[in-house]
Amino acid sequence: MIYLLLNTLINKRIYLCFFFSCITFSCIAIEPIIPIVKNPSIDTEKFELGELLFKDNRLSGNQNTSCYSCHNLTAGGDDGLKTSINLSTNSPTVFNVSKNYYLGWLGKYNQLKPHLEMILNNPKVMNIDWAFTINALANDVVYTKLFKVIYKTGVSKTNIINALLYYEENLILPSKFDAFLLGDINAISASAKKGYEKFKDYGCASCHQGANVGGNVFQKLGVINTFSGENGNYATKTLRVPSLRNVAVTSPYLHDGSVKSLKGVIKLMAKYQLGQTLTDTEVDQIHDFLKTLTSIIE
Amino acid sequence: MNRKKLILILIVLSSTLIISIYSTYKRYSNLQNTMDIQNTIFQLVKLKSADAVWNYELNSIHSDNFPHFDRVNKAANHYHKEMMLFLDISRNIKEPFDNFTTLLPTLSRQKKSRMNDYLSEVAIIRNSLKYLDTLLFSLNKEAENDKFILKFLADAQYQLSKSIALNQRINLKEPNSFNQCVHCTEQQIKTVNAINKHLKILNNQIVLSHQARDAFFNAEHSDLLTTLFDELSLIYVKTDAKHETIKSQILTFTLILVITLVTLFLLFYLLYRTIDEHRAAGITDPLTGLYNRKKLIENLPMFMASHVKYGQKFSLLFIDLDGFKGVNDTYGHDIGDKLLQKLSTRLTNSVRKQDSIYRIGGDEFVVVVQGINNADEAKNVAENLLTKCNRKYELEGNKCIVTLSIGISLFPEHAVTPDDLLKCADEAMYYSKNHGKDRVTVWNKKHN
Repeated sequence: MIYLLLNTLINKRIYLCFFFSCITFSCIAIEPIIPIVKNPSIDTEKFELGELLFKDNRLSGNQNTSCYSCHNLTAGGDDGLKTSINLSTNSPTVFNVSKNYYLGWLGKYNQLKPHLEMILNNPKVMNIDWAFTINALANDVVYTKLFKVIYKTGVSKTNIINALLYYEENLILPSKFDAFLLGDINAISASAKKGYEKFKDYGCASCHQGANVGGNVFQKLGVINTFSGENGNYATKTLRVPSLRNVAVTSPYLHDGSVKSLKGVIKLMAKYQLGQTLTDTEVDQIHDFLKTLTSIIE
Repeated sequence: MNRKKLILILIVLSSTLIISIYSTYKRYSNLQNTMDIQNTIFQLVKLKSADAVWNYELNSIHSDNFPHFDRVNKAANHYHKEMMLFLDISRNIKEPFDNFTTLLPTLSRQKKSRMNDYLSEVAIIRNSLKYLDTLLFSLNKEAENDKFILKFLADAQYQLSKSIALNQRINLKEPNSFNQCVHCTEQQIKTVNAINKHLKILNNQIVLSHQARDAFFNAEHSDLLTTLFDELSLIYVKTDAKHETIKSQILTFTLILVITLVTLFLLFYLLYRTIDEHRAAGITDPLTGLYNRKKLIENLPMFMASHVKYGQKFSLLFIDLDGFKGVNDTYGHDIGDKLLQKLSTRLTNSVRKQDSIYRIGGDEFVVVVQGINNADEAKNVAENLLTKCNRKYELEGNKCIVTLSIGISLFPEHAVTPDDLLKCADEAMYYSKNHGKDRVTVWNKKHN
């Protein structure tokens, strides 16, 4: 008897647990976008060292390029150019990059470290001269002090890469929309809310989902209607779906930077990927929604 | 002689044993470490579970209103990490095993790219479904009174349900489809065409997605994981068996070696003991344990040489018992022997440390008094012996009295050869005996 009683009690408790966990989980799972939060226990010194290195020209072979050159931290984390200098693709934002499961337009890399090493060693991009860089940093009082405090082993290739990686990994910048998802209903405007509904209804959220609103799936441009570009020479290939976080501040768009305005690219996507012609109001609403994805920088 | 042969055999045996243990050990150290194989198996189990999680996440993509590709990508990354660890750990395992490990990254890469294909298809299906749903919903609202368009919409709705069922791999019946609009405006025909186009695309995509999904669950990949497991288990069992055999071999060899060495040691000890006994028997007197005449003759030249070297003198005390024959006759030989033993104990206790005592005849003893300057010193020792030894002997209730007659000769004053020295002492002793016994006489030319 007692055994049965205990059993039912335990079962009830389990069911209750299930019930609550289902509620909390489905609240998030019901939405295509998962909110991001800053890492609460961040090593400020290491993060600042990473930022210093990120902005340092001495990391490049010609000494006038830094990571910052193509990823301007005050302008959405990209360079605002059609395609980056010496490269054939548009520079994506560095904000929240660690939430992407694939890096670069072709998505060849799925981890930050090999990608960072590639960028540093690429003769078209950074073309780093390690001997020079390590020597220059080792003679810099600010750096030697910071490296000593954080790493003990001082300035070295591994430590430089490690600091840069730490910076990239923790460059998580939530937006107003994350606040909305986490329960602050008034964080975004009514128009943006409507835009979000449209975004889900028309199927944009099929590809642009997850923590980074994209960045975790591959797709070609022209799923419903064949896309050949404004000049008719757009080479359609399967590319990584880009993250839509900070999309409002990272013009121009598409991998070749061929579209300038955000509204233009919204219409383009609707037409070729969804087979849909949006009204101007709908475009405005989606535009408002996308603007709420811009990171808040203190 | 037999014993010596045995020792030789034992030495050869133990050296061959040592060599064989060493060679076995060498063989052993070349063997694969079983811990490595065990760790590889554990890592493979982790890899398999990561693979299962990956499969599960891909299967559960349809369980949410919106598919979350983050989760399946995370599982894929986790699998990749475990695979790299596995490859790292299994690096040392030789045999045909490395053929499989080279195949693993290729198949895994293939699986990942197939996952991406599938995810792309799923995204397109999802956006088509969402789009059609929104479109049909709004058209239904608009065309409330239009019979023809409503009929078309109903058919389109049915087609959509069919597609949704097909997405779950459920085949529904195919009715006469009504996919055209006869009395429609141009605008309506445009919409109808768009819907038809979307439905067609949706159907194609669903077929494609099924193909991609089947490709993702590649039997070759899962078979490879199973084969790896079987191979590893086999290698482990084989290596472990080898280890056990060699371990027991070493143990046996060591045991035999230890036994042989102990036997060898015992034999050596026994041999030493026997030799010692033989030697001791030759130079000592069995009754009293004192040195015998042979030893005295052996020792005298050495004493002479050493005393000459250091410019010192030594003296020979020739002791003869007075009345020993009487004791033997009165009490018997047993008592006589006991008397001799008691006497030798007394003698041993009375002389100085550096002096040695010899029993050279039945009742004749010689004491060598070393390191003296003149005959008087020897005489003192002799007189001390007299007083000590003349006390009564209590032997089984009988009280016996024996006295000593002592003759002293001095080296190198009296003689310089062992025989002469002994002769002088003997003569001096006879002088004592003839002049009243129980006295000490130092040799003199007159005694001759």
